Amino acid sequence: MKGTIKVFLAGREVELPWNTMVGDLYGMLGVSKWSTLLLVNGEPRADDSYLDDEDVITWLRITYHESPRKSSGEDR
Amino acid sequence: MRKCDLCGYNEAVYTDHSRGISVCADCLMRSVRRRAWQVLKDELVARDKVMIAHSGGKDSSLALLLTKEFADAHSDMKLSLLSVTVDEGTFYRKASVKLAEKLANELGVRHRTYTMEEIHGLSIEELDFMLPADWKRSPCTYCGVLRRQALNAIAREIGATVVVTGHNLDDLVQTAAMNLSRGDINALVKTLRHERKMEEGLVPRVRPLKMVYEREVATLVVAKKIPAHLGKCPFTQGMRIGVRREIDDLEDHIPGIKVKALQTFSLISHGLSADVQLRRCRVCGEPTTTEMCKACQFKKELSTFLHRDLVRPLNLERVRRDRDLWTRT
Repeated sequence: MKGTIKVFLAGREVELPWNTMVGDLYGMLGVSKWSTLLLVNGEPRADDSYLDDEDVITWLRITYHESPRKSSGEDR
Repeated sequence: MRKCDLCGYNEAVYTDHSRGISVCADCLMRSVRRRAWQVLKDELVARDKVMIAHSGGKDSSLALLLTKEFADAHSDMKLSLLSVTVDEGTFYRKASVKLAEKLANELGVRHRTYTMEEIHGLSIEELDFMLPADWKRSPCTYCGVLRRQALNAIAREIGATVVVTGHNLDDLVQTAAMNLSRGDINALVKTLRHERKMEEGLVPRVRPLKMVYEREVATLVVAKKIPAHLGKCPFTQGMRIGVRREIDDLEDHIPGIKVKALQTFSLISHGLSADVQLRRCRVCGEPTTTEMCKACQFKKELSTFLHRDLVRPLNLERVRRDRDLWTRT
């Protein structure tokens, strides 16, 4: 049985265990699934979908409430 | 291919962790439509003139689509629709205005764009440029207040009986949690309770996506290729960021907690009474709880930086000329 798969993550080839699910990537990337939507070959996939060789992973920020600045709106 | 747990046919695009199932785009759309239509059924009345506050972003675009579908499926209600965008004058908004027009055209709903510049006399881009870097407030703080006031004034002057907004479950749970943590019971009641009275020029709001997760909205917009802008406003910030992270962490550990929290907040709000006396602002005449509304207070503050007097009634001439634009269904 094949041990690993190769996927493209943000343009870089990355080797992952063969049984990596889409939902596992959120933890690996350190992003919340509530603020980021991972896309596989440009499409959304269920968190319990397995990744395949050659899959291209990209992502979308889905929330407006993320700040490039540190302080709150009232106390910049 | 991971197939949908409901239809067993299409590829699953979304995992509902609270139900432990993964569903395809069609089944997700059916589920979201059912929840949104229930809200519309409960909160709209026959012959309503429904103005959709349509920024062109993912939430308001889906809200427009579902409201149009609802109006078509309930033609006996004789609803009239109008899609309206307030262009704050940011580079970011340019792309979303085009997408808002595109979707409205595709759906056969009339669309109008009014600019913050014409209504309030300033754009957010100009504001960001002129504000000192160390100023206590960000452009986002001003934008939120001025945009909300403009939307309500447009709705009232254009003859809307109700405004549909794209607020989703995540937005409402965050807002309710923020209201509770600030001890602002009036705001909590006003946020969660739908009341059909036009109080001092304040047009009632309906939020069809209030039981729909933001993640469901984003998934549907991408999977169904609904014309919508998925970019992020460059100015956004606020207390909400921290609140959102805490609530998201809770949802990760206890799937479905956002739905339960909103239901609980709504129940609590029904047992409370809002102690708010609305009146008209002495400067602009818009509804407010104070003698001078927040928008006028902000505009007075901004007049110093923008070197002109911004404190005056809103310019709604073009809006009033558009009163007969409604799309009847």
